Amino acid sequence: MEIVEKAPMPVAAPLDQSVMARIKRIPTAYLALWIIGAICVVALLSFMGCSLCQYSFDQTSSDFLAGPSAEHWMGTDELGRDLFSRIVYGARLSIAIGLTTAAVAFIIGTLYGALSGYLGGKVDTLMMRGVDIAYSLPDLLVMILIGVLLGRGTVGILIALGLVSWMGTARLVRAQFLQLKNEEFIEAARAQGQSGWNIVFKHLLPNALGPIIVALTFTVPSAILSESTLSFIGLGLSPPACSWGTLASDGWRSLRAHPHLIFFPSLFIFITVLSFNFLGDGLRDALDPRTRLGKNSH
Amino acid sequence: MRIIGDDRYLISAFAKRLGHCFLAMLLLISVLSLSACSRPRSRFETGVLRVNLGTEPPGLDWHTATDSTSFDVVSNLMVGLTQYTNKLTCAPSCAKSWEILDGGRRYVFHLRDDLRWTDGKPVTAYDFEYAWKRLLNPVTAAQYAFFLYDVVNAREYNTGKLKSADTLGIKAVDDHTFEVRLRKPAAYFIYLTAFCVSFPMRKDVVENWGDRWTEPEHFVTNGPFKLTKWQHEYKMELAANESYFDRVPQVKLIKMFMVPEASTAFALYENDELDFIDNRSFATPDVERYRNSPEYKNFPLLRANYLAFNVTKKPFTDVRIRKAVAMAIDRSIFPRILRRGERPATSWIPPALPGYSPDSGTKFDPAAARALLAEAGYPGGKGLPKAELLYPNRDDVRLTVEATQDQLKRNLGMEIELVNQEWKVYLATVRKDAPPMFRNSWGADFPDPETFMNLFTKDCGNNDTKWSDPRYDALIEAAQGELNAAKRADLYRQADVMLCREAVPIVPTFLATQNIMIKPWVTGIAINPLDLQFFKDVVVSDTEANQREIR
Repeated sequence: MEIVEKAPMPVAAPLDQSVMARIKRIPTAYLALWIIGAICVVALLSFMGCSLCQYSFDQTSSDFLAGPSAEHWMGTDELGRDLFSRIVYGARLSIAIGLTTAAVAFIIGTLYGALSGYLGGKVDTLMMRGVDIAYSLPDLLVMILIGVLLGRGTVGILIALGLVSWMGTARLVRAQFLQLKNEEFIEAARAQGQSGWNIVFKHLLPNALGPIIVALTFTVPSAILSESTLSFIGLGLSPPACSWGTLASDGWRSLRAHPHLIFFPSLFIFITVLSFNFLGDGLRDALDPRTRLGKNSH
Repeated sequence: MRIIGDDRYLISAFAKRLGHCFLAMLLLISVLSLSACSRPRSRFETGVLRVNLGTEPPGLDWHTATDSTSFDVVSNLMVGLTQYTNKLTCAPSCAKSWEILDGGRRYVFHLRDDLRWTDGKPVTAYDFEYAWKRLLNPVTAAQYAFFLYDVVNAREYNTGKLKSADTLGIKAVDDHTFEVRLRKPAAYFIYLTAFCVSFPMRKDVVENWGDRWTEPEHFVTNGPFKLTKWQHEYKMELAANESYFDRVPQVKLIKMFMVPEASTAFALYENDELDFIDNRSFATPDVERYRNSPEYKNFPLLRANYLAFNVTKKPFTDVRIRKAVAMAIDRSIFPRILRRGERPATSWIPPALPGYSPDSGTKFDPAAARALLAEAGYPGGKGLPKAELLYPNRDDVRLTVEATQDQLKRNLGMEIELVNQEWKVYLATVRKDAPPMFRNSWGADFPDPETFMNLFTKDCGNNDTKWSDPRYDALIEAAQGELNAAKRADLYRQADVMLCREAVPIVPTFLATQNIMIKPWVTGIAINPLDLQFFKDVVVSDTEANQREIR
């Protein structure tokens, strides 16, 4: 939900139709939007402390490793905890991490890339070498350093993941801007005497938005998985707290004997990732000013 | 009004996605069915044993090695003065006999005269003298040097207080007589002569080849097998040593593979690519599937897991709180979640060792634990600071600490924060500045309570609890020198009660087990509670008798 509301903001004004209406016409994207919305709502409710399930996420029982049943919809884990409750609990962290990382990557990456691409010349060279340096640092190392500096916990993870994932977006935005800024419509805008600010946010950015959104949809799943890496090396979550990433990484060892422990967390990761991809595709079409222009001319 | 391009794009994107899903499914199915197909025609090779080491041994120099992987290899390549029988008593090996003189202060070993190194030279008492002095030499920096600290002047020499090795109580009288003088009687001393670190060593080989002396082309050993091939990070090959003085092993070749991933190793076993696997080669669910198979066996180990307190950190400076924690943990949970036949522990000395008593420690009693906590000023756990519990990041360990955390919360209202670290980082942290609680384990080096009890004496380098008590140290010191078995057991029992019931710097949780699977065509693998694996009596063949014996 957040992404949908944030992303189209800069282009809201020149749109003849709301983005929502355009999304509605693309069934896969519309369905994906609903799924993401539902997961976000569940995550939000869980975060606000509503109990959505019969069991608490850390409530143990002597019913170890039970398969799915009426009592435990998705079975129980090695300590007899209800897997469904843990997945619901894990949703809040996984979704928060995915969306926040994408948001950080979007904000930092777009500003940095836009500045670099628009100004060009020496500033561009200097800024891009900065990105190269940031890129050359191993992600894991940077995340560990940040994790050590900020201590354990969710905030540390969010900042660490955000800080290693903006470089790709920055490069993408810069490339788009370099390509677009010599186009005729930008010259026209310049001739009208529009300010640099206006040119960047009203003309360049909307035209570059498609690829950015698509790139961001890939940031979400990779962030969800990176978090499990951090948790594994002890810088992420402290048990019994869990996320989809930790649930999946704990469960894969029992793949052959107790497949439900890996199946359900992966299923949710899979559905979420797929939904973000579909939504990304849909948004690209819905936001692309070129298709919009084409349609207007008909 | 829809643009046609849109539709086409959608269809192709959707088809592409479906294609990806389909590919992923195919991959998954093929991985899952790997174990079912491609069985080689011959299921084994007569006289060849294939096992999994799990990892590359860090080094085969038995003075600097500290890990079980290295010892697993060395125990099959070398023999010492004595060797363990299956009942864990010491039987003659290089030494055909020995005398204990001066009330247990002097040992004289008489060596066999038919001992040969793999290069044909005789094994002499001088090889033992050289080896023991090298172990104690501070330059060697052997972590296991403390093993021989009972020898006269050994501690002084090893810690640098004494520069010369001449005054050490270690002496080769002649080629076949080796004499050791101890600073005080030590009832367990004979066990030390069966352990890897006390094995003989060839001075010329070590000095000639330096760090590379353990490579197959230079390595000289005296045991039932010799190292013939070492393909690093892949495989080691051990061939039967034809010049071994005892019975030459029937198995001609042992292939030791280094497969780190347990599920891979287990699939290899199921595919008849390995003949013998143990704990390091399967996940618990795999064991469960084979629980009723004749190929599966489970052995108790002398390896105790425990929860330790740093008694200098709040709130565990108060013995009542430590005791409350000990009484609030229901140890019967551990075998139920780990499912490898673990035994709950209430005493630090494990069953089967002298001094063991099930009543040495506290029993599970949540009501009494809550009362103790209230007495300490924290009724219902209110006001207790959130304590940190450090553990190394292994899956089975995580389960045990999560269960502990859950129990303490439920039974005492105590909040625990779990912190995990990579194994080596964990060891360094615990050594330098241990957090309020940490989870640790200790495997016996020899079958005697001393190996467990010495751990919590003031001077022991592995005592990370910061707890010490002169009365405890005195009890251990007395037990070490006591030669009357019953009196000695009683001294250890008193110390155990002090450790587990009175001062409670640790809470023993459970004793680990070794789980093994052996193919029906293999017999004679000797596993003992010290987790040393000897392959010298192994037979790999498909005889009827062999089959029957296994069943």
